[in-house]
Amino acid sequence: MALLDRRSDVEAQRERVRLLMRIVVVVLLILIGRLGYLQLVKGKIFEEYSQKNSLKPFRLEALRGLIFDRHGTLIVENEPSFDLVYDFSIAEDAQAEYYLRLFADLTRENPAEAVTQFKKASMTPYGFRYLRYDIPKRTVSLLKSRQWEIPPLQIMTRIKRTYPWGAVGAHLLGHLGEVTKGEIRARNREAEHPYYEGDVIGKLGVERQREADLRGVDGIDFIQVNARGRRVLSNKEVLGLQVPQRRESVAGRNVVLTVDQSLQNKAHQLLQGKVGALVAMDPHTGEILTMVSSPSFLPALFSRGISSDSWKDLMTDPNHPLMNRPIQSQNPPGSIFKMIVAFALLSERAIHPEATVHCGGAWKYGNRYFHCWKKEGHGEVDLYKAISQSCDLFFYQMADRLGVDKIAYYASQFGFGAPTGVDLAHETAGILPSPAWKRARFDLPWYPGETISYGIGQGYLLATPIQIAVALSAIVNGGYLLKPFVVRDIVDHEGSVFQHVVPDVRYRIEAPQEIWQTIQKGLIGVVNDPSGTAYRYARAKEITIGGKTGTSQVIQFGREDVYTKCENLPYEKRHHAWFAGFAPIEDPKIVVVSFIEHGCAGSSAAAPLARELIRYYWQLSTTQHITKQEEKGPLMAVKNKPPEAEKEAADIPAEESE
Amino acid sequence: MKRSFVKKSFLSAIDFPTFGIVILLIAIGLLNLYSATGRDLANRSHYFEMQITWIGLGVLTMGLVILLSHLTLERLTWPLYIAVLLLLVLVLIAGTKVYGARRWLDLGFIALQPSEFLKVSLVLLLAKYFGSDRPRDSYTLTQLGLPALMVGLPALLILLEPDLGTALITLLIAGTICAANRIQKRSLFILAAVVVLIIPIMWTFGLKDYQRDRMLTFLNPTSDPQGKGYHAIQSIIAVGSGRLFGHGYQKGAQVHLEFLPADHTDFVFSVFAEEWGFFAASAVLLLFLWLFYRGLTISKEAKDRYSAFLALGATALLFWHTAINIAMVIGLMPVVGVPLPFFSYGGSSMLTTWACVGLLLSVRLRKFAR
Repeated sequence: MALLDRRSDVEAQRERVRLLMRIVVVVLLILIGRLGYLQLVKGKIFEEYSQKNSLKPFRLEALRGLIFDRHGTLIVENEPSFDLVYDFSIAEDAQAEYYLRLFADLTRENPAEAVTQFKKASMTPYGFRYLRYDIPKRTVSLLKSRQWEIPPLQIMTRIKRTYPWGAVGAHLLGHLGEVTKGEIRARNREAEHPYYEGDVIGKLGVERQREADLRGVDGIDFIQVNARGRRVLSNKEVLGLQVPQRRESVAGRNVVLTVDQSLQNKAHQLLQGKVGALVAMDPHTGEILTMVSSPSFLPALFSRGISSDSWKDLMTDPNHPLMNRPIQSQNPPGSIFKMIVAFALLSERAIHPEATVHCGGAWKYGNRYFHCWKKEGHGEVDLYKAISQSCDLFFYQMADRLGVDKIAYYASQFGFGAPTGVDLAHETAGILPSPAWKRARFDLPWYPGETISYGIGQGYLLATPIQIAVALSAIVNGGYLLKPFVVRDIVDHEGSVFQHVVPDVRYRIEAPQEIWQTIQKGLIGVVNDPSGTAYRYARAKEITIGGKTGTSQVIQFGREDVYTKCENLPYEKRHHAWFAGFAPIEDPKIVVVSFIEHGCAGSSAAAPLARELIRYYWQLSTTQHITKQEEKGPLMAVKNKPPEAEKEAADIPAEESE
Repeated sequence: MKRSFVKKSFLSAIDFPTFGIVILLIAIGLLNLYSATGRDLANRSHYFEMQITWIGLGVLTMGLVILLSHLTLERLTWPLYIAVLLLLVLVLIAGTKVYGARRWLDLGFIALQPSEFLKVSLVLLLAKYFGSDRPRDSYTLTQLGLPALMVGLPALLILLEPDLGTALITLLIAGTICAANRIQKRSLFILAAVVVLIIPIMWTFGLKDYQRDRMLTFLNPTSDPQGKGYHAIQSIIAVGSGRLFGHGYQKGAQVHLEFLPADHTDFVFSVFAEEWGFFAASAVLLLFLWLFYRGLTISKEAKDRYSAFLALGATALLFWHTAINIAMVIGLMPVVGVPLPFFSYGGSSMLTTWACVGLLLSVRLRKFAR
């Protein structure tokens, strides 16, 4: 084999290896030559330069994208803010104490505290230690006037996120915060432009969801500074080496939401002093018109790092102000669920629409009595009456007739038990119970009695307000299950549309027209029939409203407690109040879900809020063709100032159990 | 028979000059790494200990390579090549992204860079191809088709990661091995014409400024996350300020380099040149030169074509890494992100380096074997 290599061939190959050797030698000599040129010929200049000067990269912070409402009203913007930094290319860390004492003298504060701050301060990739964020303007001008005394302490101008409407819609908009080490690791894998310690990042809501669009691209400049931190020489060259070019920052893309800020303000005001949520949605597109959670918080608190006191307040508040209730709060939907059971009944042809059931106030099933909310009973009840008067007894019997699997099947059709897919993080799925689910969750069999309370939306069933909005939308739009969304457009910094979100129909629930109409008729009766549960609470003169009330029990009551007046119970035992409504009934343009924690009754506590929101919506939409024209303009323009808090208070009628 | 020969006089048959240079280089490299990671006190011992671990694993790899007979090496060539190809595909699908490039395969306990292993696997494959399958006269363009495919496919996969530096190195290693063969003059001319004419013409006239920029950042996003040329200029100033004798160990004014994410990987030599000066830096380069000389001599004196190509490939791998890294550090080349053998921090690169040393020693060891 190898020995058969011809001698001449071997010789030729050796010759080529010798040639390679010569190439290797030449390359290495070139490298050594260059080293000699840099270190011997130019060495002195480089050394002197490096002792006196430094070329510093300077970050040009990108403007974060603005957020607008559907009409172009500015709802999140930026303003300058000043940070105190220690530049250790000017003075060593060891000298910091000396300078910090000078600084403390200047501002008349405790020098020891300033030094402690320095020790805790983190380093950034650009060679500074950030000592304080968002310092007052007075300190800025004080420091600027005495800069020559304390060169390493410098002011960095950064951009602060501001929320002109304060706490209104805070959960939807979200807030910023300093990027964590974990986020840096996770994000820098995908991000084209890496995050560094000290950077801000969207932590919640749209700020988080659209981080990639909003963030923009930081620019960079290179500045030669001398040991005193002064800018020197030209910016083009260092010792004959070309200085890297300045790269401008690119502003983040603007986000246009589907919400209407006027409605947001109204909803926020309606929820003042309550714990709950208001969601409004266009039942034909899935655009979220309003999403408000109460209690709320001030997102600007987070913009330049939240103080530990404020954080503690938020975390220890028993009402969980950071929770975005419309998409996160999961509760039994109560009687609202009856519309789904009614749909199941009709689809399965389990009942004739005119057939009646006698409601005597209680129904014995097995060895247990199931009570109707109306102690004396509803008498003869057909489907229409069962929905509009929310007869529990009717639905107990129907649930028994349908069985748990059928109920679970139709509920899942309407989106229960799964996130709606709204473009916000941390949405919860609710719970859609079934025997299989119970087996997996508790390792227990399904008891027949649980099917009965399933019929009135009690028991293990849990839903979020936005799930209810999606389900009701499907009922009023003829079965289209929509994917709700809050971001309509992404507009780049030059004003052209980068991304337009088109409404997304997840699927259509097929059913004959009569079925939809029958249920809609029942829902219209709830508000408009004098015997309807929300007749006194949800009716408005100028616009016709339909809907369904719901009151969900927080705990399982003993027999003696069933008819105890809710308002006499301790707060945490009171029922949750729901109302899901739509308007106008002829051609629904808006679906509103209001949810009040421990509000006692859907009719009296939740329905009036939905009604007020709908009335306000109607008022806006009949006048807005003028306003809309005025507000159209380049979305970059910073205009509206926050309005004065609206004076008008919601008139909520006296309480009454449904 | 071979086996017994290896066992009998294993130690005496080791090429001590080569081994000595390697030990010297690795010692200097380790000392330098300790200084280069000096600013990053929190991670310093981590880097240092990890590097020692990698050196240990590297030495084991070297031992394994030496112990395997060339027959076994030849048998392992194709399975190894195919395994690495699969890994390269896998890294594109499931690789960990760092600054927009998928180069790493996270195995949970360790992260690997399959493209590093490709280089060694390719040396084995090309040695096998050119070492056994030899046409009577010289290679024509069509006969170079198969090796071109062997190299081109993985090079393309690496380019897709994207990792311009490694793709370039891969081509250079393969090119060197090919160049050691007799290639038909006409084919050689055509090849040279293609490379010399088409590429620069395309680059200069076919692309607009922003396209070039975009392509460079696309192909090589990790090299310059903070601004074009900043690393290069800081590195040149650091090297230059080292002058004749340097600032002294751990005394480099690393204020220039502390923000470089790569000062313990790609720019590690600028730390050395700054702290030790011209004498020491060129001495290290001469050590490298000696190593390459030893490598080529081993190739020249190998007992057969296969062994000769093995040694040549291993030397080419070490040479191109060294040349490109140093050229980059002293501003003779754009920043492409290639590690310096024995000096740069990193596991995959360390294993590759030691595997090459193993190949060289293995060929030397079997010089007289029948």
